[in-house]
Amino acid sequence: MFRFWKKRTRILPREKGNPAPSREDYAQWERSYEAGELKKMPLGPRLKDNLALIKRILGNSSDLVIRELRLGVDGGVPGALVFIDGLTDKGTVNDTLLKGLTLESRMAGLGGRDAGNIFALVRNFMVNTSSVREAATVFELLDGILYGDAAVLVEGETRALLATAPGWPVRSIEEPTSENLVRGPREGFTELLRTNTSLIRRRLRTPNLVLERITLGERTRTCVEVIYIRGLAAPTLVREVKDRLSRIRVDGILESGNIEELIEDHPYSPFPQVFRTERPDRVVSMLLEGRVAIVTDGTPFVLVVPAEFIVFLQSSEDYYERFFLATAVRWLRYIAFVASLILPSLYISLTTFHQEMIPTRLLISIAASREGVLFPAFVEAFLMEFTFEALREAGIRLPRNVGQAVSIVGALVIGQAAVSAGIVSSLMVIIVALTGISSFVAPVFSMAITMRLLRFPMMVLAATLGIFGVMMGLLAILVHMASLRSFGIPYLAPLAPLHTSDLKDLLMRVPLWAMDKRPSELAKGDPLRQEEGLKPAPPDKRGGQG
Amino acid sequence: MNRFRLVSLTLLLMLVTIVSGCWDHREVEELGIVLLTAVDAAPGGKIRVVVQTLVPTAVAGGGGITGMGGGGGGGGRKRYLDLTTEGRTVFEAIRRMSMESPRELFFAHNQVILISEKLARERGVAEVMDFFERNREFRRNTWILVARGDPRDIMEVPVHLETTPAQNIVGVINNQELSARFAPTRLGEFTEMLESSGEEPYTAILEAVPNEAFSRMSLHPGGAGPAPFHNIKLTGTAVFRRDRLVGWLNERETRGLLWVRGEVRGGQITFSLPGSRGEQKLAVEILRAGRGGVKLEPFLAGGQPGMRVEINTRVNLTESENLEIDLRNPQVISRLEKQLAGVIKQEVMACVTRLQEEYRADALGFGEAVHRKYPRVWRQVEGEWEDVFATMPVTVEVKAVIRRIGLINKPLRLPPRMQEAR
Repeated sequence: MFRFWKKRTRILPREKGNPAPSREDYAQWERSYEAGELKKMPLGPRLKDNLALIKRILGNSSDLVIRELRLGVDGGVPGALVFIDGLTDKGTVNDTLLKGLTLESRMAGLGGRDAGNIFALVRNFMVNTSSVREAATVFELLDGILYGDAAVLVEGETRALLATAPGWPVRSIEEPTSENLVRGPREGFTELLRTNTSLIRRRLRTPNLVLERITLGERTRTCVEVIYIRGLAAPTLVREVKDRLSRIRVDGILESGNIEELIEDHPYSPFPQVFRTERPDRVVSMLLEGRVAIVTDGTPFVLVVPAEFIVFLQSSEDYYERFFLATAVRWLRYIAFVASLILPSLYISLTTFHQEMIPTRLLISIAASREGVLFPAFVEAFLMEFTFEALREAGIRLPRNVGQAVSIVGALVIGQAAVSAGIVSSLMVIIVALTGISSFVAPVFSMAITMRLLRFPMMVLAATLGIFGVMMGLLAILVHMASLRSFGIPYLAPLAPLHTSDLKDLLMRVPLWAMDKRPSELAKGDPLRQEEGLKPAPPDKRGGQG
Repeated sequence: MNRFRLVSLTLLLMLVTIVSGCWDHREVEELGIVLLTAVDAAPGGKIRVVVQTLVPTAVAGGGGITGMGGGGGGGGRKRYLDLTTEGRTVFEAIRRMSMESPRELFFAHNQVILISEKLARERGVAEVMDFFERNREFRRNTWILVARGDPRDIMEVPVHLETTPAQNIVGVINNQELSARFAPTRLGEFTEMLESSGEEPYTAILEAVPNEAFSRMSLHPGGAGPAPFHNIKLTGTAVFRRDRLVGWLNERETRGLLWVRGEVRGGQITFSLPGSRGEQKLAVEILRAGRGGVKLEPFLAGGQPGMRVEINTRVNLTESENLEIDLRNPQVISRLEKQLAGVIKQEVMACVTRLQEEYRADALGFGEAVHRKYPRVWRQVEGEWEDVFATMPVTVEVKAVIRRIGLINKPLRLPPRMQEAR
């Protein structure tokens, strides 16, 4: 019966004269060039052939610039400068390369000598950029050009020179929008890999800082650099990171999030296992703990592994302020974090199943506020939470000037109107608002998202099974978290397994002069971070330290 | 187990929770929150149960959903509703009430249980208590009070400061420390005392008294004034023997009972020094019974138990009508203390006398004390404890210490001229 109807219906009826492409049509499309093929293709000796090949492979792209010139005197040797406009810095091309190749080659009296020597001469004396390499295959040549190098081709030479001169427009260094601090540096990473690594280098001037480059993505050829401090980061960790990165074989890596999804330990878990940040100081402090950073070209978000649960709840500001404030803020964050997860569930379960647990006066007040409300507590909560999330998402995409108005409108008017219409009770609005505010307290967005999402199953559990449900949900989450590992480090370290010496940074933020050791799980090679006994005191109180 | 099975099993389990439909699901607006329950005797051997439920819409008033059109016509609506039915048992009466109430009654927030005097005298309390102990929703810390008169009248006494009469009553109970003249008991303690052979239960009395402070002036000259209204008042103690009410203790005797029980946490005593001009009184404020408060020491006198009560207390002097007294003098203070001790002893003896002679009910816990110290003796006298208690020798020793005398030392001093004229 199914086939009967299937024969008689046509999905997506095609118009005559405009059929969808068929397999045969694909063959007529211009062919694409695969990397493997290009790697085996050598450059020919004739300049004209090489240039024609480049043009054909790059599809006659309009931003391809081929500057033919003559090297040397007396008519000179034919050569060409090939680069992509927009990727290569034209200033360098004009001042350094062209001048070097045309003027200085004449002044040096190039010409009349044989080609082999010319190439060496050109390379050593005329191409005056700070870095230069040779390309022997078409793949290397095109890879270099597409990276912004300017290629120098010489007649009769099967090698090409790639002069590094990248210059594309980049954003200037600004304060990272997603991680604001009151106290602390306001530099954030940008989309340029080299800028980002320079921001890290500037803060870590140790010769043991190692940067290893990996190229990921078949078509995007994204540069990724793995950064770690030799002697601090465990060699097994570094090896594992590089191993996982090398397994990535995808079309494109656009953002570090793509890398994150491809290297994490537990892809199905709602909890993030890879830390990401826009702040160089955060990355540096984590490198000093023995972690490994992964910087991706094209995105300001740098990944750091391994990442256990607690780093998602810490902010670098904790370490720049004095420990009283930092400890208090930390506690506030923990409480808000828990609240954002269970507050609506607690409300639902208490008012639906366990009214005897609510103090009498409060119950009277709740009963009074819920009179006339149409929906049961669960539906009310769900509706309000959903509306809140929708407003939040909408607010992200609105242009700035409209966004403010909408959020005020959304919050006040809709909330008030909903209460007046009897759709929700005023207490529910308060709870949703509190939950929303609490969920913003998590410093790292990936963890905030997790909590926002986990709230909904908890609400369902609360509405069906009351406090039992809430407890079971919490237990399930806890058990799940305890089973997670991030690159070998248990997710709930230092609570599980218990390292009492690390607890000083967990429950409170112990003053800096007391933080002598690095986190135990990470830096087994060099456990001492600083000298012991560094507590400051005025001269007369110093006692034995002189 | 392969992936498909695992996933489908998980989904099935999740479905089970949702499909079963959350039983026990009770929305707040479906609850008939009961704050006050009263039990009375009805004709034909039946029991009348009166229940006071909250009316949430009346409480909602302005701050809520019905802010615009609500509030009722002119003034607030009554915030509580009383329902009553009769039945052969308490449970039957409560279930019969469901035929009149749109909401299922929810007793978990019941704060006070009132027992009418009639029921307590005629039928006894024990049978009624069973329901409250057995039912899941009643708490052990509910107050139990005896109502003098018809509980329905007391429950309808209008409330001005609090939301509901129940809160009114609980508020007054919470102020018990200020007067120490009534002895409220909670359900848990009451049943313990019921079951114990060494002490008899007691609890405070609730009654409605006219409010003397209202103005009798009428709005129209020559016309009748506004109708007087009542307040509730907690006063005195109801004493039970076994499970029947046998009598009252007035406020002074109640204070004595509280002294012996060690439950005096505040209050005031008025007394005067002998030799002073008679009417001039001093007042002291009792502080929390200091240093353990009370010691009950049973002794054996000729094979029979007797009791020695030792009371220690600290007070602050709060008022002196006697203007000639010199409170800077420590000897004066110790005279006052001795006098005070005498007054307290009188209070205690008044209570003991009443309980021994008139009611023969050991609400003081002497039996338990004897049980603790002389278990063998107790086993012999347990059966006739009422009689033994009635003839027990009881000695009371009181030690009172005046801690502070307030902000001034000597009382006001009138100028000499005026004093002579007096």
